[in-house]
Amino acid sequence: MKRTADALLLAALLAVAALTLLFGGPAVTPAEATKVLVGAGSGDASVVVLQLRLPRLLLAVAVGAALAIAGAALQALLANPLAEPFLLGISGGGAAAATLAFVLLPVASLALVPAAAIGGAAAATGLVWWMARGPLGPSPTRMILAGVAVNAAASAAILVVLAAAPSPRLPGALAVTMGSFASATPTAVAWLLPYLLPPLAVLLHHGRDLGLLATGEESAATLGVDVGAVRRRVFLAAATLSGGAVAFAGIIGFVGLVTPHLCRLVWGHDLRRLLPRAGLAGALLCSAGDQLARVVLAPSEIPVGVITAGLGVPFFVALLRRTP
Amino acid sequence: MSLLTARAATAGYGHFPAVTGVYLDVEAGRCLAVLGPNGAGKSTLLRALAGVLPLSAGTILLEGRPLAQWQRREVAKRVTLVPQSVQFTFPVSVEEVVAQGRAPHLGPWRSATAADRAAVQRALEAVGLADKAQISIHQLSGGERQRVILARALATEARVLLLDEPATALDLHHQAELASVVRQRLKAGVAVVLVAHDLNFALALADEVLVLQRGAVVAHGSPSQVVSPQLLRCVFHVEGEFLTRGEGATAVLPRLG
Repeated sequence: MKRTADALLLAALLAVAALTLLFGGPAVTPAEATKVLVGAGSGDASVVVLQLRLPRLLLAVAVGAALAIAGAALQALLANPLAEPFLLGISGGGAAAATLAFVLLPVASLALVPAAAIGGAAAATGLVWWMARGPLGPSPTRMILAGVAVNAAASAAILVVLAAAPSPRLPGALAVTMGSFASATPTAVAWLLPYLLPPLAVLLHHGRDLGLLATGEESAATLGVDVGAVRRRVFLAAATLSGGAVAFAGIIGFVGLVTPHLCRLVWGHDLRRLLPRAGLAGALLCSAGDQLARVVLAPSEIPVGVITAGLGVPFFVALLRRTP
Repeated sequence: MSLLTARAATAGYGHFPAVTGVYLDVEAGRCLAVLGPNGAGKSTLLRALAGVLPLSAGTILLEGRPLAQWQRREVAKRVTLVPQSVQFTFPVSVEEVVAQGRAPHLGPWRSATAADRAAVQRALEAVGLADKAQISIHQLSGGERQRVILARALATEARVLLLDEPATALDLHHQAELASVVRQRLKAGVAVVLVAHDLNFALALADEVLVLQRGAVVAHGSPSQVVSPQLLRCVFHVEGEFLTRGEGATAVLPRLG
């Protein structure tokens, strides 16, 4: 059954990819797009498919995978089913730093905005951890409350930055606050990968440790996990994934919450098995969500964050009701 | 041979040492029972012996080498702790929990081999839960969960077994089964440290008894030397009778109310 689910997941992702590339808009017909994909396309069609549609698809896939894997890792690390980059304020911290970087940097280069976003995400992670860790260790509720506080501070910071931003810088800064893959370019995708691959490798390496940490820190330590070191690495990796995602696609909530839980229903709780599947499922959710975002109110586009929130909020409420 | 040795071990939380200056030796095939009232530092001592709580003074030696010099995973292969309870955030199956006991042997990338699966199966059978292997841990009773945690520790096949109140949630039948599992391990050369409130359960297994009061050792010796009416009076503040059964075994009957 798990094999079938693997095959279905891959097939669905390929189907969405094909749909995006072939039916991405009225400018290029499916027949022309097919020609481009097999290497026989003409100039204009080739630009649309390879410079616009393909980068947008790849960005959605990379960001979806990053957020879902970060969410699955945080849920296990913190033994908290509600943990995810958006609710814990990690994405918010990244967005605040990214908007600030957009406005302040003399020539905001692609290389420095993600670095700022990752710094902001890491700072938010540290802050949430510091606030949530009471005398008896962190509790799931404390953790979410700390996330609310950090999110509020981040939103306030973003509003101040936007209010003070010089008008030519405003669109770039504003884009960070609204999740969207519309700004994807081949260069952006090429820049994003170095930010995502090392933290993904770190999280996959600690898959087994994360499974043990889901049973509590002391329990994990007695089974050989170096809790302090693993916690630092996983926090940093999750912050890097979230910060990288925010820098290139803005805040997209709930992908990190919903995807791991749905994958658990199918593939069980072994993190070594779960993390890669959550990554694929997150990629599917974001790329399919992006397609929906483009067609629901066509010809105008809604932010993909609206679609993921539409799916995520009812799910969050259901989880919250079940959490002790 | 002493597998685990504490020399003036002092450990605690923040600035408050919960155990101070403990000396003990845990030997292969022998059971050391740690007794004492609530808050005496028994669980803290077990955590320190397992190496999950750092010492503020003194040393603990594992196979003659200070615990702090061992890698965490190497300690976990040799010493295992059965805590009073474990939180299960997600509805993992009983078998998945017990299989976690093999983690120290597998490291980050290796998958479980037939030998690992056999160890998991033996542990499940030892605690009588082989028929519930596929059930979610959330569907089990408190006593069953306690047996799952024990099975996870047995699956590590560690040579030192640290048990923190392993019988509190168990009915009489399963207490007897637990005692027989521990006896089998002792025969196989495993060293056991047992923290227990039930004096009779401790006496049934102990070769040696150590009594903690307010973090300090107040008595240490053979069960017949240590467990006495004075102990009940001075440490637990109750009166009681001692019944001697066959072969010199003692049963304690505290007067409750």
